[in-house]
Amino acid sequence: MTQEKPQRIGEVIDADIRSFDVQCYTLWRGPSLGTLVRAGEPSVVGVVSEVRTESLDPSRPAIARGQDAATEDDIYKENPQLTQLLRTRFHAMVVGCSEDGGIRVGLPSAPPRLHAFVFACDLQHTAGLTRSLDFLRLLLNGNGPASDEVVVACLRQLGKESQYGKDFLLRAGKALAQELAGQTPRLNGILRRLA
Amino acid sequence: MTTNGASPQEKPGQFLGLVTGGSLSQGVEVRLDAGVSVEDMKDGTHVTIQGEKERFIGIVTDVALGMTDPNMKYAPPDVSDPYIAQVVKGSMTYGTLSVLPMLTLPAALGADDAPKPAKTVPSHFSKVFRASERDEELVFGKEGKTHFFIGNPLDMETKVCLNMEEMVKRSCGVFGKSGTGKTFLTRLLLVGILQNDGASSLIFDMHSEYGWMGQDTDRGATVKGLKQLFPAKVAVFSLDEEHSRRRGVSPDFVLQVGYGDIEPEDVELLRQTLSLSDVAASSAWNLQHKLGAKGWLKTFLDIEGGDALAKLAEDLNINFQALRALYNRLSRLKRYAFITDKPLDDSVNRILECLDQGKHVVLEFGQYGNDLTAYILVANLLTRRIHERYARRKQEAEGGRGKPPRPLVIVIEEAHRFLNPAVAPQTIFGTIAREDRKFNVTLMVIDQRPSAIDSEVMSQVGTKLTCLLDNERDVEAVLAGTPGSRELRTVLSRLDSKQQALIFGHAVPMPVVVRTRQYGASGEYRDLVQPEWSKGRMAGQGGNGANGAGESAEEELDRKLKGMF
Repeated sequence: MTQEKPQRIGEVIDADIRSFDVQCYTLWRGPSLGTLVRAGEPSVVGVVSEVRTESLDPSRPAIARGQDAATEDDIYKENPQLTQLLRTRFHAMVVGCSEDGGIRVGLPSAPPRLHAFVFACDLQHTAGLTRSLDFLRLLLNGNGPASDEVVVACLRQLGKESQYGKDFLLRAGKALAQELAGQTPRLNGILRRLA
Repeated sequence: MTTNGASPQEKPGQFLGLVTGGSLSQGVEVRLDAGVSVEDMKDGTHVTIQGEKERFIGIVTDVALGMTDPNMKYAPPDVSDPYIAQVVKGSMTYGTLSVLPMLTLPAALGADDAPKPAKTVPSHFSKVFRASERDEELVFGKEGKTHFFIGNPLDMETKVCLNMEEMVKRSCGVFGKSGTGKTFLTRLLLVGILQNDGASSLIFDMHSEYGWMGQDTDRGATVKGLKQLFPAKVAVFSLDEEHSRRRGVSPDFVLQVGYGDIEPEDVELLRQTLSLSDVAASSAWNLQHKLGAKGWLKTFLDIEGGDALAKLAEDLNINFQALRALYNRLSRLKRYAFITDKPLDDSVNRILECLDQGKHVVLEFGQYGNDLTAYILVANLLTRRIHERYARRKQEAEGGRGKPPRPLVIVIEEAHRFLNPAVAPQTIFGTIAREDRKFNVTLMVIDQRPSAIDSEVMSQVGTKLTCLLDNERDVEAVLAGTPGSRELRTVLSRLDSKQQALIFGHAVPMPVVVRTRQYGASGEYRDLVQPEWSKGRMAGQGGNGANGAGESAEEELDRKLKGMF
């Protein structure tokens, strides 16, 4: 059986043991929030926790140009250099790494190398994570202000995959209830979003 | 999940949860599994716990709700959403059971070891299961000659059986509020004693409920009494022949009491019902001393005129007012037709003859059933004399002369009238309750106010069968001295008001709540008279070539039964 070639979406441009930043090859084509991605070989698996498009040169930030333009597209047509001066990048929180042919939950022994290729995770990689759901703890403790949003986005994406079974979201909800014992309002907020 | 950790040789009941803490004295706490609804768990249910080394069986004494975060009370999740409701159930909110471990079961079914009292608790996170029907059978035995089927555990069809041999060895008690089924339960117990055939019973049948027929007030129908079910084994005595005849019952004997049979002790017992002062009641002793042991009462009541009474008071050196009060109150006895100067027959001898023949005696009080004075007087008087005979015969048997008397169970209603703390130390019933096991006589006390019974007597009651009690003091009195009484209190006060009873004590290995066996339909009568196990025995006897006389007796019984139903 020929396996579909995984789609490469970018390269690691900054990395530490808990997270890595990726620049996308195509402007505006970054993965959506909560997507599971993997970087390098052996793979380090992360969850997209932020996506941003910015100027390539930090000293030359983007400025407003469309005061006289009729549509947003007109701005790009009139300033064709823009697509060369902007980049789309995303930040991923590390939740697992490959080990003994599978994926285990937890931090890797070393961060991914810079310029490591980054791919969207396929079933083979996500199955290891979704079995125990322990990765939710890493996401919830990610300290990012929007970590709950990342959790919701990630679980919703995984929940759409029918192969995890109908009770996946239920299992995830119960796992969250254990992780967030004593933080009822926070849990209630997440559960309302998942419902 | 194939075995859930239980013995691989058997199929355990439904998995309920894990032990999370507790103690032997207060019971263990069990956290319910998310898949088990707390509403399916009932007080009094039996559960098994698979510990590391032992398998325990215990009784659920409380059901409670728990939550992981106390703040949830103030910010409850939105359970109107089915998803959130499902997530919350079992993870953040859960049910807990309080379980009192009672026995340890043999590790494997088929092992000969009997269940033993639990002397430890299962270890942390031991798995808890609903007791299976096999477990119940293992604990309560199989219906048979020694084990009488009294009812079913809650939500189960297994038979809970009482060990009748153990039950009649000590006094037993049937308690419960009025209208909770004490009479039906007692009737069943008496059938059990009849089936077991190890003891005779003497029933002081206050409201004529046990002899020929009784009333089922709920169904507005009559039910058969013991005499109808076991005509050859039951003798009905009546205090009120006319009443019996009106009811279409022909008593075997009409009981009469002689004035000479009444003793000062009987008068002491009547102190409360006749509103006698201590002085007045104790004057009876002086009278007996002065007027003679046999004729004192008759002579006393025959006195006419205040002057004669005053002279007697002076002679006896007792207070005239007290003597007059005694005279007036005892004069009521003249109204009782069953008290005569010269009784036709010695009633006690008659009763003893029947008991010796292995018969069970029901004494119907007829119209005197509503007269507590008559009931207390007759019950005390007969019991005292029967007790004397039993004690003498037992002593003779111990001395190598004659057989020991057949064990006897004396059934009394409104027991607190005989056994309240004021009179129990002096009356014959108090003596029997305390020590008459030695003389082969025990009591079956039926009462709705157990708190009014002397605590010393209650502590000697071996087996207690109690229907619903909701008075705090009554509940406490019944459970006093029982292991886990604090926990069982909840169980007892939550019984249904009909057809449910908590049974504990010598006749059962552990406390059990039962739906009492039905009594009243023809099929049920047949099962009572000729239970399944006895049919097997009869067939077995026939096959083994039992003697012709035995066979014909069984055949005759069978034929009679067919005719009866």
